[in-house]
Amino acid sequence: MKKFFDLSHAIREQPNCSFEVINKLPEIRYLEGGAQGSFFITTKINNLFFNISTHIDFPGHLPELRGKFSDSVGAYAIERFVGSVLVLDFSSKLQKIKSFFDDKGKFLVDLKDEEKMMLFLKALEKLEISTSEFNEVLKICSASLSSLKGILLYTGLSAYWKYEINDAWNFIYFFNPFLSSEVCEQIACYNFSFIGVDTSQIEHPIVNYNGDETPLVSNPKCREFVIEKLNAINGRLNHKILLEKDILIYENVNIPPEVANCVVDFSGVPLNFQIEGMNNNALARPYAVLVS
Amino acid sequence: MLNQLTRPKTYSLDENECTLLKEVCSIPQEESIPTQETIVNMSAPVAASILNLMPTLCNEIRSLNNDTVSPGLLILKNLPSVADPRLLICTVGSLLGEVAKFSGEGDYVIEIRERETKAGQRPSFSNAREFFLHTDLSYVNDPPRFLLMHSIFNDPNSGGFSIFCDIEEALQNLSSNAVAELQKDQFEFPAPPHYRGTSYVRYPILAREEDDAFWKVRFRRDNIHVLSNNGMGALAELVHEFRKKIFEVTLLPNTMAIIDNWSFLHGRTAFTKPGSTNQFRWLNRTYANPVS
Repeated sequence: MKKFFDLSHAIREQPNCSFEVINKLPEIRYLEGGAQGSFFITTKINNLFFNISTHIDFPGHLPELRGKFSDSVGAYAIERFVGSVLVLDFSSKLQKIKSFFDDKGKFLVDLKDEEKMMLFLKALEKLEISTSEFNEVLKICSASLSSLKGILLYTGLSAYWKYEINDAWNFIYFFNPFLSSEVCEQIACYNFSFIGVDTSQIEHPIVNYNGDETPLVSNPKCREFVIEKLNAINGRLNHKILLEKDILIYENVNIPPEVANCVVDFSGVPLNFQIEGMNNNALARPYAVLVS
Repeated sequence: MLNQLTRPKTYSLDENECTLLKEVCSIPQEESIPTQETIVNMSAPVAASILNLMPTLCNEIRSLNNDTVSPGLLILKNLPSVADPRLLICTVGSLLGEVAKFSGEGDYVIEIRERETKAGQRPSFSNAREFFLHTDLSYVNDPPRFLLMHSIFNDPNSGGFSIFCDIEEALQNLSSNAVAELQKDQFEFPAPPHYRGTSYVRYPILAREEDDAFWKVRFRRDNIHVLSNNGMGALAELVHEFRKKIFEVTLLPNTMAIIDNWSFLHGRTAFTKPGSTNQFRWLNRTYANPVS
């Protein structure tokens, strides 16, 4: 029996689930589709960003890789986005920080409580997926890696997706389990076409703080801690390790628990934009087919 | 982000200068609060009157208005507390030229203080968000040459640290390709919602006429639209250089930063309300242009 799963979050005329200060609301305009007699209707979308909702990061997403691979997303062969995929279950990782949030994912710590803020920042380290943890889950799945087009990481964060902007420190969706750089280097050797995550990004979530945000400016020790951490991460971004091997990254994939630790048939093809320079992001509607 | 601390050029008023400035900037008590127009009209004669009384201070301020020496940033310290600080900032502005008002932007003196901060809101003069490096009024055709910021209230334990970057220093290690791209007329600077003028302007980020001794910069980290992918690469390179050259200053009360808005970028960290008072960070801001 085949069961289909839509792995995308819908694009709506509502704020994306993010903390960004850039207005990314799609603006819809309806127009006459042509003026040669019959009246047909079409739609035009202003202010449509390509890194909202479920989307793919291509190498051009990083400034240093802009000219190193294909000059447009449409230049990628369609088979790069279709094939067998293993969904690895790392949902237990989220338990390490759940006590800092309420049931709806709102941050519970008083931002001025430096001691608790520091405890939280240190707890974020436990979100890292180490080589041994990664290999252990691989072993449980016992899939043949050479037959896979890619992997998806299931963390359980899809359940928190909502159409609302929250501050970077204030919502659990932005505190994602993440692969260690060693695991990314291991993945880079597998000849995968892509990886996908049910989170907003694949880096250590401390990058969201950027060093100068509200919870940090009044907590000097926390600020110092974050700055040191960011300096250590700088240059070893997971994005860079993967994208410089042309391993594409699906972000904000809507992964249901039913497919955790399963091999599924996957398709997540972007639109065929062949415009030079459009090689950074692409919107996609991936889906999975689970055969039982 | 805090990367390095360097000491900008500062001038600390001595006791005599402080007393004299307090005297000349004290507005006679009247029933109604003077309009901004009145304050600006008062400031030019006050500025003229202190040229001989405080020659060292005045020369230090007026030295910024010199196209042949390194342009920059001057921090005035130990300014007097006055009942209506608008006359003080306008007087210093008048020493540099004409205090300027921009139609669509607001009055001569604007209070930079938190009204309301919402998630997803762009940083601005009226919220407490982290404000990335920028030059003021990047979205008007002729941005003002000088920007003055007078600290009325600022608790360093609550954030709100000012950040600065000298464009000349940032360009030292920038590639020639990037410099060439940044001089192209390919960057759009959209106006913020409060502005009642043109919705955007298109200009280069860097400009330098044959007889200019220094680069002029127009910049707004969180709101530049780029017309080419090469321009985007150059912008990323520039931002990378900014990170290395940025420095941080706490503008304590009775301190004023005088910034050459054509050559120095500024910004701030986020800030919070101090625990012991009800007051948020409050700076007065005005612009001045040299008299041609």
